Amino acid sequence: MYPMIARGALLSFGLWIIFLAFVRVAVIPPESCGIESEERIAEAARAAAAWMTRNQNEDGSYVYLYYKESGETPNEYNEVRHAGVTMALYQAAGRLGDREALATADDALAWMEDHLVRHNDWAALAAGFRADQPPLGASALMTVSLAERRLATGDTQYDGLMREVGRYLAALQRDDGGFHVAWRIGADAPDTVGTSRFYPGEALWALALLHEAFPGEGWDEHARDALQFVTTLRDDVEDVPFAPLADQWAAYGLAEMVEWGLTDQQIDYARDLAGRFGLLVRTASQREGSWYGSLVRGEDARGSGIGTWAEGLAGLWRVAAQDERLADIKDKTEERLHCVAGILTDRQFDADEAAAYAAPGLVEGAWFHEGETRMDDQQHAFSGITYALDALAEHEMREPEETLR
Amino acid sequence: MTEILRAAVGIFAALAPFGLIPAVLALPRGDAEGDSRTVSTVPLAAVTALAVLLIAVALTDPFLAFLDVSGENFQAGAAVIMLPLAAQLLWSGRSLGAGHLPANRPWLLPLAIPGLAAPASLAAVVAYSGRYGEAEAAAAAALAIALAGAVLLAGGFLQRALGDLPISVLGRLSGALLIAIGVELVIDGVQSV
Repeated sequence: MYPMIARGALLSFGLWIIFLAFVRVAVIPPESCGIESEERIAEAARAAAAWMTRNQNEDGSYVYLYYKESGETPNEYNEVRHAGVTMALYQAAGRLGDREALATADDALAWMEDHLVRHNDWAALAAGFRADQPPLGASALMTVSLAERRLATGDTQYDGLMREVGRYLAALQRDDGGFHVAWRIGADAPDTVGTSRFYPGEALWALALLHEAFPGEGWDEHARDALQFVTTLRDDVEDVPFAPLADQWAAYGLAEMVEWGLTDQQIDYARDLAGRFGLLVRTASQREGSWYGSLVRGEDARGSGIGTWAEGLAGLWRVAAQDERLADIKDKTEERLHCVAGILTDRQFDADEAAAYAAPGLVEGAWFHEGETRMDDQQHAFSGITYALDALAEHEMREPEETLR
Repeated sequence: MTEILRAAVGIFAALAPFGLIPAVLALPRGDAEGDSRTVSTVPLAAVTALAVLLIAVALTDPFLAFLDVSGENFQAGAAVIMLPLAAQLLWSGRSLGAGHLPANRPWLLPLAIPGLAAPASLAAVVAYSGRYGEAEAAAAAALAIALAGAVLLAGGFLQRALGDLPISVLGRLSGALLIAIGVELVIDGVQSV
């Protein structure tokens, strides 16, 4: 009887080994978080800021796209991303004390002023063919840029412009707290057809920053309505297949508004959002962890995508640090932030790698995806890494401690 | 406390004691006193299985570090590891065949290992240890083993009172419960930071 049992046990053992090997490869491939050194991670942020500073055109716009193999810089542009990169440069000015970043961002701000459309009592950022329908997102991120400049420098010279652009956001807000995506200037009416998944989050954060800059002017009511929309309706309205949408702008907004007091429902949303970003980071770390990781976990995300996960987690870390109801996810959030910042640092092109290309200045400090880098790859990665380092240092305040001027 | 209870339910499902009842009832008789064989065999098996599960709990962190896997991602793996047992329970209502049971030390092989301390229950304790912490998982494992032991001790009584068919149904329901636990582990792993 014993030999029979032994044979059965051996067969069973062998089948289990094969099955567990399958589980290992297909279900739980190893994870890797790239570079652990916080010093190296901080260097990556500085290199990204240097890329954005270095690659500005004479008119204040930035190099939008660059293909490292062919050396091409296609003639495309996007004013929403222009405002986003400018925002990141003001963050670099404030957080790193980088005066070059400040000067570059000011040139980019002049470009935005040149592309303002004024109508009724508001101003909106729009470039080229969209001048008749200024996109909400561009004005929202321009507002954030101005707010970041104010925080970095203490300079109030653009307060009037900030309010003017802010009024465009308010004009586009619907009764449900959501937003029309643009105002049709010719028809003097909002665009009631177009939708955007991310514009509401961008507008939410901008409105929250407006209230922080100008308390008592009513911006908080707009921000609260926007937060209610984003946390309760947006994913349904936008038909998001796997809610919640991985929206780092909403996380920034929550972080700004946590001290105003969040409802239980908003805290639940924040928890779910942290889970979504956490899953994305864990999945990315599985892609990095083995040769077969990318086979079973799909293609790598681009630098901007990974950067947004870091930005989102960093915003939610601030919420967790300030609101007891999320205290239980704070440590895990830090862990994921360290991981995602390490992955970004590992994937950034350094000076040695850049030297092999015809235009090293367009390669060093950049993140490439299928041979291409876009300016917002550096923007999101910079912001994400910078605020991830805050979490690792238990630095709860996002704003710079000292102004540049 | 809620966490310990949740983990205990999950570990109990992975132990699948109802699927073991037929094997316990088929154990070679060591004396002429009917069910008295189970009175010594089952506690020995339960204590041995608990020891194995506690060792797994204690080794959770080094094990996950060795695999380079976060606890949250491991939960999905644990759910998949539970699938063969769940399928076997759903198919036959048993987790262990009743044939070819050794007369010598059956409390160790096959009752303790792989009857109770099987890949599914080991994966469950590691998953809950990563999720709730070692102390909670250890307490939950002890609670689940105690419950499973009670079920096995009551196996003879249940068979006499209910017959073979209801025990088989309970075994199959254990499979369904195990699948539900696996789905919950996957969902929690996906939603966790």
